[in-house]
Amino acid sequence: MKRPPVRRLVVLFAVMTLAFGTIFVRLTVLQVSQAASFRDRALDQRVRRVELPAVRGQILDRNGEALAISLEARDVYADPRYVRDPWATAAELAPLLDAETGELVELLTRDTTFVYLARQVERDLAERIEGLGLAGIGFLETSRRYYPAGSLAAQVLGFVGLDGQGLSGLELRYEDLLAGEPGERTQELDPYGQPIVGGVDVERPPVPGSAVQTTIDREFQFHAEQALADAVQANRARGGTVIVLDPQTGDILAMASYPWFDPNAFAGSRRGTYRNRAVTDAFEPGSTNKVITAAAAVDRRAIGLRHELSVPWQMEVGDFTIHDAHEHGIQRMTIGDIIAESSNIGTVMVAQRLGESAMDAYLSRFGLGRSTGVGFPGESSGILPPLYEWTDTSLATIAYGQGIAATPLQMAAVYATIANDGRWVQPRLVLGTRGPDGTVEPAPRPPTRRAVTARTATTVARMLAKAVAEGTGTNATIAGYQIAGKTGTARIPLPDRPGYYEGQYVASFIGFLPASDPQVVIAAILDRPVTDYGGIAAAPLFQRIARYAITRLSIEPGRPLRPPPTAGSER
Amino acid sequence: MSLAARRAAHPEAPEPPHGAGAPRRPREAEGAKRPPRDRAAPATPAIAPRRKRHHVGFAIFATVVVGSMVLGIVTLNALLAQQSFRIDEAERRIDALETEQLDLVHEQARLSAPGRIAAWARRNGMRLPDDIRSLHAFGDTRSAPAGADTSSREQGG
Repeated sequence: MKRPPVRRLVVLFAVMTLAFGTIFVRLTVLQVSQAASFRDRALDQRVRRVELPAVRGQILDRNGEALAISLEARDVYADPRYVRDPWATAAELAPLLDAETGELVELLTRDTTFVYLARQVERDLAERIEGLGLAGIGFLETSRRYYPAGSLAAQVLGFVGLDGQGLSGLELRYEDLLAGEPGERTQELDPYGQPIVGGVDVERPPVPGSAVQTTIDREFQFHAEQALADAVQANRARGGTVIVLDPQTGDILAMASYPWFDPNAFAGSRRGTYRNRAVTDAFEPGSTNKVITAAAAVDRRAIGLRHELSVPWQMEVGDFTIHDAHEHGIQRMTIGDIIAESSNIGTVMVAQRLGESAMDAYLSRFGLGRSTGVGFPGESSGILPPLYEWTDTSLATIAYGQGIAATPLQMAAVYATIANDGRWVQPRLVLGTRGPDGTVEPAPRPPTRRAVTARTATTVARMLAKAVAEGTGTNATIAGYQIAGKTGTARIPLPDRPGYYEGQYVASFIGFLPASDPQVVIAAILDRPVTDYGGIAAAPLFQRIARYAITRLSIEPGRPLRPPPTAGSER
Repeated sequence: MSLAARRAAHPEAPEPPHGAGAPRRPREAEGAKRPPRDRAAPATPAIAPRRKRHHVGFAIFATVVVGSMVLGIVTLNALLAQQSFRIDEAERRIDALETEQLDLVHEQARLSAPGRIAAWARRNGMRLPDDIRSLHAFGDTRSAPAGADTSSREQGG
């Protein structure tokens, strides 16, 4: 009998042991140590997660009228692998998507699995395309921001990008509230992309964004914009700004900047038109700043109301000569006359009695040199040089509004302070929010602070009323109503070096009505009008808006204020 | 023979027990031998029909119970399915109404836009209310209008 080949058996056994050992080790690696990773990879292959976009919250005016809404839309995409005839597909899609056939063919023949053909297509159009049954063409749920009033309050509202993110204005400021929270749908799919019955199918519904209710009055905004556009055209100005403010609450009823743009088609607009000049652009306020000088002087009793000053037409200050707008002999003027006639020299003389420190303190009290806190993206705080940087001419020039810069909103807030019995109120653009469940959350009351006494405010209001009735602001008068306001004609500083543009001005008129019981503050500002002066270019714009305010807000005439003493009067 | 008569004839015979199993094992008389195993015991004429009846009754009972359970389950299932169809339909209606509501909001906002109304008004020869005039009452009025200076009344304007 032949002996078994023991050695071969041993070798075979060893080889088999090694082979099985290797398999065992490999299986251990695959199924134990790397199990989680492979499980995840397998799941990723089967499971598809689709983001469900949240409906963006509306932006409403103060009466609940929609200023910005979101509409259902679809993104049209293609998976070029499944497009059978790119030319035929492109030819069918081109007229519907308003695109060139060649461009679409280029997209449809790309070596990729996903390419957008059009973004934010209207729902009806998407349904028409879907009805064509084109292979390789798909749709994604999305939404499209729509501004039903077109360019109305465009710079205030801002706009939204293709991915639904706020890019400017209130859309950017309240992005967190408006955007909501996107949902997600998780589905387990077979290799053909069809859902597996009984497989994973989980949906986390999106949470819609909250609605933001602004303080803007849509009708008033429209009227202010029309008046501004007409004034810019009539005075051949480069642009302009209008702000309408409730002095008691700080509510901004209208805020217009010209030129504007259509946020429905913002991509084709000039970039400069996106700016909300009322908040982002600082200008030298000129004579409208004299109201602070007057208020400070009255509040500090630096000069009596009946005290008469001998005011020349020009004056040496430091190394410079400053002068009034028009040449005149030495005039006897009270502080009321100085404000009414908008005398630079008279204002400088008042400021000199007040002193630098007090002047600086009152400029700060009225909110210059810091942002108003209205909460608008890109708000400028203006320019108020710190006291230690003041030169020997600073007090003089700042007294009549040159050498400092303020935004139109800051200046409107200054006049609102006078109108509100000397109490500064932070302007606001938002009344509150309304959550997706309908709960309304009102915005907190805006902070206030006392800038001057109520008595001082009334005295300054009397001066401003005189400025309109008899002074430089007569173009702002409205029969039956006493208007308080001040003109401004400010030079424009050169951007790159010290000095000012020759013959170019910012014309402004800021005021309120009725003078005794102010209901509304209006700031009308025109950039470089050919008519130059605030009393000629901006006062009529103020008047037109004020007339509308009387009807819109049902403003009664109010009891007229007593005019301040004039030089030579017996009182 | 009646039961009372049988009792009288066989006074030692016990009373038959009550219950379902009673007919299967009738008590034999004392000292009676069991029949051999290989010979099938001839069914007593009284017991066979009762067993058959019992099977039929049980079958009917089971059929009724099972049938009613099946019917109940089917009915419940149908009700649930119906309910789910209703929910599905309601969800579809909610979706449609939401879309319609959004469309209406869109339409309302577009149509009520001040610019559109102003353009329409201009096209139809209307004026915007931008130029107001205040009228003052003169003469012997009972009360002065709000804000009017009383001295102006004396001066006639």
